[in-house]
Amino acid sequence: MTKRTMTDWNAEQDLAALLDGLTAELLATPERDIAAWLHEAGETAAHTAQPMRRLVAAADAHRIAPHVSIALAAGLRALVARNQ
Amino acid sequence: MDVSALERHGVMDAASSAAAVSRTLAALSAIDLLRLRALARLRARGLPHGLDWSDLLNEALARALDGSRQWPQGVPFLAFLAGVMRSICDDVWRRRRREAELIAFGTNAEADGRDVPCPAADQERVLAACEAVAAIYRLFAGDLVALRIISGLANGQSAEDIRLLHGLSLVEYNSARRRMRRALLRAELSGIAP
Repeated sequence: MTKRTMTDWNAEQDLAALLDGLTAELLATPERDIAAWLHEAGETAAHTAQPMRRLVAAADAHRIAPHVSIALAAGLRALVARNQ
Repeated sequence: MDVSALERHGVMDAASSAAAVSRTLAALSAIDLLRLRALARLRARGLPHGLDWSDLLNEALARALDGSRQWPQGVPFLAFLAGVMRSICDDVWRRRRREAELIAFGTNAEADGRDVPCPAADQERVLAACEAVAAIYRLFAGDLVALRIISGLANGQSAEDIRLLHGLSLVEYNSARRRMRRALLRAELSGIAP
């Protein structure tokens, strides 16, 4: 009989791979499948997405100008590009 | 090379990227908004207690909208935001670790040079990961094929590897994948009616 041994389980590594894999699945799910699932759940996409639309609009309304270092870096890049 | 040529090669400045993000967000379809929510809820499963998906999504949107994270040309918008959320999660844990080191060593850790014995440097992160992995597996409990696919994903295997390893036909694999996506959507979009 072979002896069973305990091995080190790296839960963080597993979770990272799992989340990456499931993220890819969510990104690849066709729109019609999501719409069909919502329909079965008795919801409409437009109605269900309202809170998200508000959240996104609020984030956009509160956005700030790009950080000065980012703006300067972009300007510098354009200057270098013009002089090449 | 002029500026427009740089843009053609995928180099956009922060302001242009931010403006493109703002325009694209405003034009997102209802389905894609729901997909974005599901992505945020999924990624937030590995966060420390006290932080939730809306914190994660807000931070990702803030970084994309202020240009500190630029949207590379050719990358689908939701994949870009999913990547921003992924890196924010890593940032959160890195910060937690620095805080833990400050608590253990104080501000003069480098000058001091003493070690502190600890069974695992990132115990909170390991515990959160264990809980999250268990919760994800529970979503697919009762569906053996879906669980095998999930397990394969956790091991970083490709679809083809998973199919071959478990002797799944393409039809069986695709059917289980559809069930898996539905279970995932059901979990991540539950209770969202306004």
